[in-house]
Amino acid sequence: MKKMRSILCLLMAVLMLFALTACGGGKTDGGKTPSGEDASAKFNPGPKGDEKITLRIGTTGYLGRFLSGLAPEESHSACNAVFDSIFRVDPWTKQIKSDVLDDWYWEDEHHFIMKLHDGVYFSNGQKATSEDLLFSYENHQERGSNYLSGMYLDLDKCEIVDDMTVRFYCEQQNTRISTAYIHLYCKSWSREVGWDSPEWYYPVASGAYYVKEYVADDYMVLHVRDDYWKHSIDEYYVEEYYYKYYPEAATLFMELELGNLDLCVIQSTDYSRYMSEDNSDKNYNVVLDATGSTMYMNFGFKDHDIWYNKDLRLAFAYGINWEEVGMLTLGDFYVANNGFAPKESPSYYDAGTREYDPEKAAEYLKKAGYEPGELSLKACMMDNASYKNFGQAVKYYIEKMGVNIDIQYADVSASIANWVQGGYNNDINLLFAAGGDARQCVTGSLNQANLWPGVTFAYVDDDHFQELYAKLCDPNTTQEDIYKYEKEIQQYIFDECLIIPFAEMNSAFGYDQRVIGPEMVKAITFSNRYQLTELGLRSNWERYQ
Amino acid sequence: MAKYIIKRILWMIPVMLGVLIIVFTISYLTPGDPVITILGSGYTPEKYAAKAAELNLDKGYFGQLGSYIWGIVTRFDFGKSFYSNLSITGEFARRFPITAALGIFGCIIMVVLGLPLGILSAVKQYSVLDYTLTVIALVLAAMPGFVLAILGLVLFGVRLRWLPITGLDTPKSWILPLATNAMPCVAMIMRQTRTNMLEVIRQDYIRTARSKGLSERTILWKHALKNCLIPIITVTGGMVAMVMAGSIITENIFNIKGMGTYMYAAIMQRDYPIVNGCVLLIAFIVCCVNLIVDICYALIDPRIRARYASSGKKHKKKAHKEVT
Amino acid sequence: MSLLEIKNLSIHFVTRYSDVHAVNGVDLTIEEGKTLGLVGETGAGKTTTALGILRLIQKPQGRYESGEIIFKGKDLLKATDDEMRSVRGNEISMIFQDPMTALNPILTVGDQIAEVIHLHGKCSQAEANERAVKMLEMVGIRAERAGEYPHQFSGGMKQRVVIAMALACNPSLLIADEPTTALDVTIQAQVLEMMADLKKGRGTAMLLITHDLGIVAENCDDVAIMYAGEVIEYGTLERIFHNPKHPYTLGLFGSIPSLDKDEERLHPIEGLMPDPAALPAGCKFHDRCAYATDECASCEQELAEMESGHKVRCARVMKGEI
Repeated sequence: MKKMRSILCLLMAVLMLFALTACGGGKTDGGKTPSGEDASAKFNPGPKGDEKITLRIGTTGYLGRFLSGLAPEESHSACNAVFDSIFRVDPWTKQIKSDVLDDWYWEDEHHFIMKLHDGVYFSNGQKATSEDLLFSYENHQERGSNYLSGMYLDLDKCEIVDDMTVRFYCEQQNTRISTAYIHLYCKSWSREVGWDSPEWYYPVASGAYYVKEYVADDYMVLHVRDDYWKHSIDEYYVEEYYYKYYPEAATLFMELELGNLDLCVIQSTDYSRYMSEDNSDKNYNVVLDATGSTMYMNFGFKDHDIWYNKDLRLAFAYGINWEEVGMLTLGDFYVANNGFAPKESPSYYDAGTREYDPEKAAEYLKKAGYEPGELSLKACMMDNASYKNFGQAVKYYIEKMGVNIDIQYADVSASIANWVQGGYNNDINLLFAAGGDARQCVTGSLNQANLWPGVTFAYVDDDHFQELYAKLCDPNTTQEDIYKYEKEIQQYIFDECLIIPFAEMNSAFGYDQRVIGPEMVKAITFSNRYQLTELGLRSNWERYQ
Repeated sequence: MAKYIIKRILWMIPVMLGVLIIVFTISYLTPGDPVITILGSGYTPEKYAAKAAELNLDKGYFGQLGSYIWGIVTRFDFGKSFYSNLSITGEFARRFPITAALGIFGCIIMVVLGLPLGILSAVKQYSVLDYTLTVIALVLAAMPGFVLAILGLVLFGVRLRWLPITGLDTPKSWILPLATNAMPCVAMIMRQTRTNMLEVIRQDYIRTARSKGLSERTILWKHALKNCLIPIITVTGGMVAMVMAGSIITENIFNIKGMGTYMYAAIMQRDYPIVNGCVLLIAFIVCCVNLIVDICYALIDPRIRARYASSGKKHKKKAHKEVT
Repeated sequence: MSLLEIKNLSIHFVTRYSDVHAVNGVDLTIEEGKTLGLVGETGAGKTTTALGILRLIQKPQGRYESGEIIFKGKDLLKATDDEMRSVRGNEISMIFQDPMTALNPILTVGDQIAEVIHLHGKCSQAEANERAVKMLEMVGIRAERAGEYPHQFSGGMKQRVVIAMALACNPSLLIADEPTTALDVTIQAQVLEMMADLKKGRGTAMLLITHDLGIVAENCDDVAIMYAGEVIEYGTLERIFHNPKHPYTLGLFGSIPSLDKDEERLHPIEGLMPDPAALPAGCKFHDRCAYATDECASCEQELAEMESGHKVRCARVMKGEI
């Protein structure tokens, strides 16, 4: 009798749990818009008449001061709305454009000229001059940000030509100078408040939006300026950006599902169910967008001289199942790619693949002069999901080959410091550099391979490679030749097995389809960031109506 | 008694000082240099020196410890965050009331629900009600807080849309965070109350009370409850620490800007001044709770009260006992 | 009419795994103002009988299988819970074996006495407190100690408090369950003496449960010997002590060392009391009995009157074979 009772109770509890989980897995009726909007409005977003909107953006990254280039990066996306960018990628043409420059060009091998637009005004009414332009670069060096790395910029030799022109001096010609996100800073104001001031939560800047409200670690409101030098307030459809910080990604996506957010980055593959489901009847949807870079494994030539041995590199190329590694590293975001440009880019080139073949790997390892168990490797990777998944997957295959490997995981800044300072035994590592626009994604992806001193393990110490890379970076090379050299360099990398690319990088963005369309999201996002200045303009929204 | 309380309060000073020194020493000895972390890839020896001087990190152990303690004691100043550069004291003032409110309401729910349900369960031992409550309590106590939180969010927030899922803006939005924070504690208090109650009602003095002809209600409330409360107070004291720890999970999931999110972000960023400040605050709260628990013991149990009162005059007490 | 008449009382404890026959067909009678001694080994069912009278048997395991408990002409087993509560502490009160645990540690002794007076005495709280203090003084505790807690009292003092509490409402029957077992020998005598005095002064009848025959001899008018849940010999003090008949009773007396003779060893009864969950058939004592025959092992024994005021539960005694 009593036994029966207790069993009954247990059953009740199990039923209760089932009810809960069943509710969790059931079909949602979220698609039937609670506010009762009609279907045409739902899937045909955009401005009607003079209407203005507030766009709600959710983020799992920390909010912070509007100072780009510090680790951890603070308020990085929002900086694009508050400041004007000196260079950025045009969302529609994917070409480099500038918010504030009238012209820019290489004067000769070392000198890069930037001509500031006459009539750029900061929010304190001050007019921007060449002083501010130069300061926008100087401050990065002063604050110790890594934004100038790869530019070969020598700030002591840079000179102000006139009120609007600056002649920059570079040790060598490079594309990095026009692809890095540098914002225009107001020198006199920055000097006045200093770098540690809380004033940087409400910076004086020349961008289209100003910070109306900022609550640390909580939310911020960016409101469109009525005295923006470039556009009138009427040209803006997005009146306000409401940026909300969520420490827990699960909550963020639930808010998206509930229609409380309009836009967010989906960084974690844990939430890839949003992509696998058919969302056409729901208020939210997810879009994948190639960031323009690929994911590849480096051999640390300069860290460990064993890597000059091509047979050893080939052993690794055959001995690791790259498809598996890609799946494990990127989950549902995985798109196989054995080049250095996304498949949708004109620079994409398929140099060939090496299928997973443990026997061949053993052969090459022997040919390279190593018996199983003889070789020991070391690596230091970041303590985040991508690196950990990659590290574990690669470790599995490497150990299967009979090579010992010890991988340490450190936090972001510590591992970057280790990578840059060298001294660590960085035998192999994973890298995915910001690729930049379609035109330059190969050089962008390979940026670190040419950079010395930079991330030590990423440097490819091979003369022919560096020669080809220099040709690609030469501003005088025509577009036609660039495609030619891009193919050549990708083929050369594959033949020599200098680097092993295995996947292209994609970001996923969640959005409210009653508010914004997928094309718009793809256009204005770039490598986990939003071009909020472009997103705000009414004319851009009208493109997709 | 008053003397005892004052003594206990004074004792908190060395305890807090000890905690402070330990916390500071641990963060001082933790591998990883905060300056390098802040500078990241922009490291140069000059920048390092400048930043270290700015953060007071160039003074050596005793210098740093001294200025840290001095700042807290004289100005209630826990320093500034490495990253945001905001005053930690200011953030505490903004955030602590939120967490405190969550914690206090959580404790109220814990006692108001856990105690009567536990008593009910004990009085109706082996009934269907008892079994049901027991099973529910076991499930709740065994389920980690974040699972409960996510289940609550999915069911009541997303599927049914009855409750908002983030913030604390409306009265309704308090329900889920409070429930996740308090439910495991309710379950534990309930179980504890049931066990204690069952033990107490088997005691001889309860039989004595019955033999006096007292009604079951009087026996329960006058004779049994107070006796059964003593172990529960201990557990409740421990629960306060649990609620504080639980706030890290709850606040992060429900996006509440209290101490939990602050501490979590600080730990993730290795923002030591904040972590230290939070640990100190928690230590202080735990000290206070322990003091309150001890005072409650004394209020309920005359044996303990006698011990407190006699702690200053042991000899007198001994003499007294010999007479009896 | 007797004050209390117990007829054929059987109490079993039924659990999932066992059925314990704690009390089996007990008949007892207590006259007003008299003292009945209930004697037996540990586990003989004495305390269960006592608790059974007050209906304090632990529920739900404890069950009354049969019997009547007629107190002042009313069957207590048929009384409602409310009626029962007005009997407890008021008309029948009980003193428990261990004074150390019988008092609530968190209430003052004054409170605990006043509580019962307030409940049954129909008087104000203040009056109840006053009377509680008087009761304390009556048992020899200074009035000012009424505000103290049990832990501040020694064992003997606590038992005095318990006695004061039990007598506070002038009950007609006092059940004393081994009231002195837990006390020092020196204090035992004091407490017993005090109990006897108070009882005499108030005309209270008493059921004195003990395993100490010496205490019985000094305090009781009648004696019932219990074994394995049954009364096996019952009679006046005189008859039982001077003319014990049942082999078990004989054994009990035989186990007391005599001061007159120079004895080297004690003479305990051989064997152990049977497990109340598996009582033997026939006479419960037969396997320890020196006089047992085959018949003893098979036939139930009746408690039969051997002579006026002396009943024995033994077939062989009744047949005059012993």
